[in-house]
Amino acid sequence: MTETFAYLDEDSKRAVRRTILKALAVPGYQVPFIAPEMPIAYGWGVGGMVVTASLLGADDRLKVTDHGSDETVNAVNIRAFFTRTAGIGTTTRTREATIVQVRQRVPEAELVERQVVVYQVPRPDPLRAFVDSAVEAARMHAHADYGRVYTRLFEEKTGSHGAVQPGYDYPVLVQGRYLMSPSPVPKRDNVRLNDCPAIQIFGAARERRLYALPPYTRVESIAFEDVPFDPGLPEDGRRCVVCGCGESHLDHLLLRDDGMSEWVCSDTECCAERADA
Amino acid sequence: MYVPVKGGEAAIAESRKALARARRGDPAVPELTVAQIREQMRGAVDRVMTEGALYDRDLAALALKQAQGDVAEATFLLRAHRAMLRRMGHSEPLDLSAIRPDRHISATAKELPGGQILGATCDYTHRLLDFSLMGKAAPFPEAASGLDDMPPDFPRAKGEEGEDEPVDITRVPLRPPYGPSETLGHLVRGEEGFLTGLAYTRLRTAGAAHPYVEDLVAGEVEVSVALEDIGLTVSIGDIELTACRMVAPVLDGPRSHLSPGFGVAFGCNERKAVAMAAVDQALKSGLDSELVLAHADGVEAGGYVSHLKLPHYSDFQADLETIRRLAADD
Amino acid sequence: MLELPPPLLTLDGVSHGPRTLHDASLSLYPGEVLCLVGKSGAGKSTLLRIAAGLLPPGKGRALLPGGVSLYELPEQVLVSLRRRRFGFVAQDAGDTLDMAASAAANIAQPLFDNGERHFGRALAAARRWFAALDLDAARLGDRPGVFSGGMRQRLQIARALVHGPEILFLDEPTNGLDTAAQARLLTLLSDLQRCTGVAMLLVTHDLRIARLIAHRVLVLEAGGVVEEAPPDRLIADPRHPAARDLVAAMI
Repeated sequence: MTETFAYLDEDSKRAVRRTILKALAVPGYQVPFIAPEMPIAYGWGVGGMVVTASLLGADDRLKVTDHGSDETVNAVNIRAFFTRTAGIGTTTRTREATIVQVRQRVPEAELVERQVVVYQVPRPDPLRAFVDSAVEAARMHAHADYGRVYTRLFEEKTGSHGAVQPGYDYPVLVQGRYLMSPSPVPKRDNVRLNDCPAIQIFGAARERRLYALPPYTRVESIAFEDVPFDPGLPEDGRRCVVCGCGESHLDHLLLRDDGMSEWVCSDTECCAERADA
Repeated sequence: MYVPVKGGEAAIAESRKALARARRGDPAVPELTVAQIREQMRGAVDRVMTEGALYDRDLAALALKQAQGDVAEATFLLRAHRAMLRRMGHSEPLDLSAIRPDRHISATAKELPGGQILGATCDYTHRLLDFSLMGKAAPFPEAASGLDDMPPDFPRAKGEEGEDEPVDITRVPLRPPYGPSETLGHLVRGEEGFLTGLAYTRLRTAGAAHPYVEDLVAGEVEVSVALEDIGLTVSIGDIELTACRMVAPVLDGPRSHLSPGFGVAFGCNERKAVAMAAVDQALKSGLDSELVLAHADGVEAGGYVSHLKLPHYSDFQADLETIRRLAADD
Repeated sequence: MLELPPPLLTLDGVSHGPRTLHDASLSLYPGEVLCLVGKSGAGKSTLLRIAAGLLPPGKGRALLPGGVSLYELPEQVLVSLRRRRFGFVAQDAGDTLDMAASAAANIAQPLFDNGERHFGRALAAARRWFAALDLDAARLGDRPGVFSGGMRQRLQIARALVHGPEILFLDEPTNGLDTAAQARLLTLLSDLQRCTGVAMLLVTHDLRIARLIAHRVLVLEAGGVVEEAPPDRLIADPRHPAARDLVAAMI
């Protein structure tokens, strides 16, 4: 059995590309799609890989990160898969990449118009936090019936039980129309989705859904008119132990014997650039 | 200076080598052949073919060897392989009344046409370890004569009707409402343990109807394909399968009736066929289709559960900070 | 002669099920409190649910002003119409309240369902309705489960009125409450009705409740409307045997 370029057969790729076009035409709408089975487990980025496989051409340069890092085992594994099956060039520099596949972070580096960012998505429908039925969720999306989402937000601010939206995968409203999961990126990354020059595509293989943001799409984190969105920036003065940056998203590294925490930049590319400068 | 989780490539390469070593085990013990697995690990092979949705004993055996006997992993391997195969079309509906049975029983009828055939079942073995199998050459028991002469005259065990073309669930996204062939497809590929557990919870649920095995048959059946270009239907060979028809009483005044359920699996796999039939019946009696069909797939479920091993720094950190903030508010 | 305004809602010969309800009709006028009274199984709750846009009738129509037929509207139009113009109070608070959400969120939800996106306004409305229903503002953040039965019913009423509906539907709202709590709830309902002018369609098996609050009473028996009268006239002079039974049950 010979594998085709980027593993997927051309028919499957074409079907995925058609889905992508539809998704770009209706920003934020979850288009049902067939995710061909990949030799990587569901939950490990298959949705992103299917999108990447269907977009890759021989001239593309691919960057893959997991939690902002090019070097985590998962990122390395996905990159190696495409190097093996498509023989394409890879890079760790965002500005050199034509396709950037990411998990759980929006790239911190500047994105430009010719680029595509591919997100791996575990739970594509933010409404599933409110309703168990896919039929009901689809009805709510169809009619932009999002009152319950704002009720939850209201509850967060008024309830004595402190029901809260998590600090990641915080729902956004696309072009004022569709409620969308930004994938489990930290809340603060939501602002980077807005008005982005690159195409952004979100693939959820296990859930068979794909959605997209064309360049310069308006993306707002859900919030009340009179209470602005809180990106949840830390206020403890934490800084990266490598580059000293206090503004980028920092991962907890370790707890020292003296009880103090050490933090490190999640985006390794930007961290290294700052450290070298 | 600390460099977070570098050197992934080398680590992965080493991990693969370690896996190969673990697979081989003690090199002093002869390596398993795929033929041995195919012939002597039939239960596992049949299960991998069923959930892997590919009828190929050799490839299923190879997958099992590669997966060190891990059925879920082997199923995954077979599925990934299957995804690369070209789809040629679909067969005609199997005529289960023409099955050549190795086994045929009913829990509702004492007299079955052709008689009840126990065949190769563990049901009546005493589950004691058979230490004679520790030795090398277990004796090969001869079959009683006459079994081959049984008339293949069985009541027609049909699946669902009413669809001209079956839905290929690998090509159509799961979306309610779910048609009969879609339901069947998801259940056949469904993980055996999940379906068994579901059937079991259903049996223990107050108010749920108790289903009966009306017809359980295992044997060979012919697969035919219609060649539309030349207007012929030709046989492309025989496959072994297990099929179960189930009925459950639905008591509802003048509308009382028996509600059917159907289960099927490649090869000899009764637990799957019976569990699937029970779940199919339950679905017809109001069990939530979405709950079952969206969660039955072992490859999807296994993948998503195993993804919990992946780094979750950002979301975990966010949760931690939320907890700290809420706890501090108190 | 005084000309009546057109009814807010008309049920025209509605039936449901083989026996539950047959050929029942009613009209509800602006600002009116109409009680559906009958013994259990008479079809009151079914009629109420049909009127409230929650249960399509087998036969007959539910009409709004202008001849709009409720159940011939597209599903989503019906949903949004129900949300804007109706409020519903169930016998069991668990049927309308989200027990996992705070009292404030429960009251504010109809506003958000109707497109409110302003936190301050929603909170002010929740506070206002809390006060209007004699609830303790310190408990806005509590979940319904920790409130008493009477307070839970008041939460339901606040939630059903917060968005300023034209019609409030109530299904045995005082069931399970002790006499004092019943009286208190009915007084509150009467006051609110006078302040807001909302029309009410209220189901009860107890004529004493109808006497306290209704402008007009319909008596239901075995799925049909058998008598219609103002409460005082009905109690003084019940004509149908079912009405006589209800009057007898008052003592």
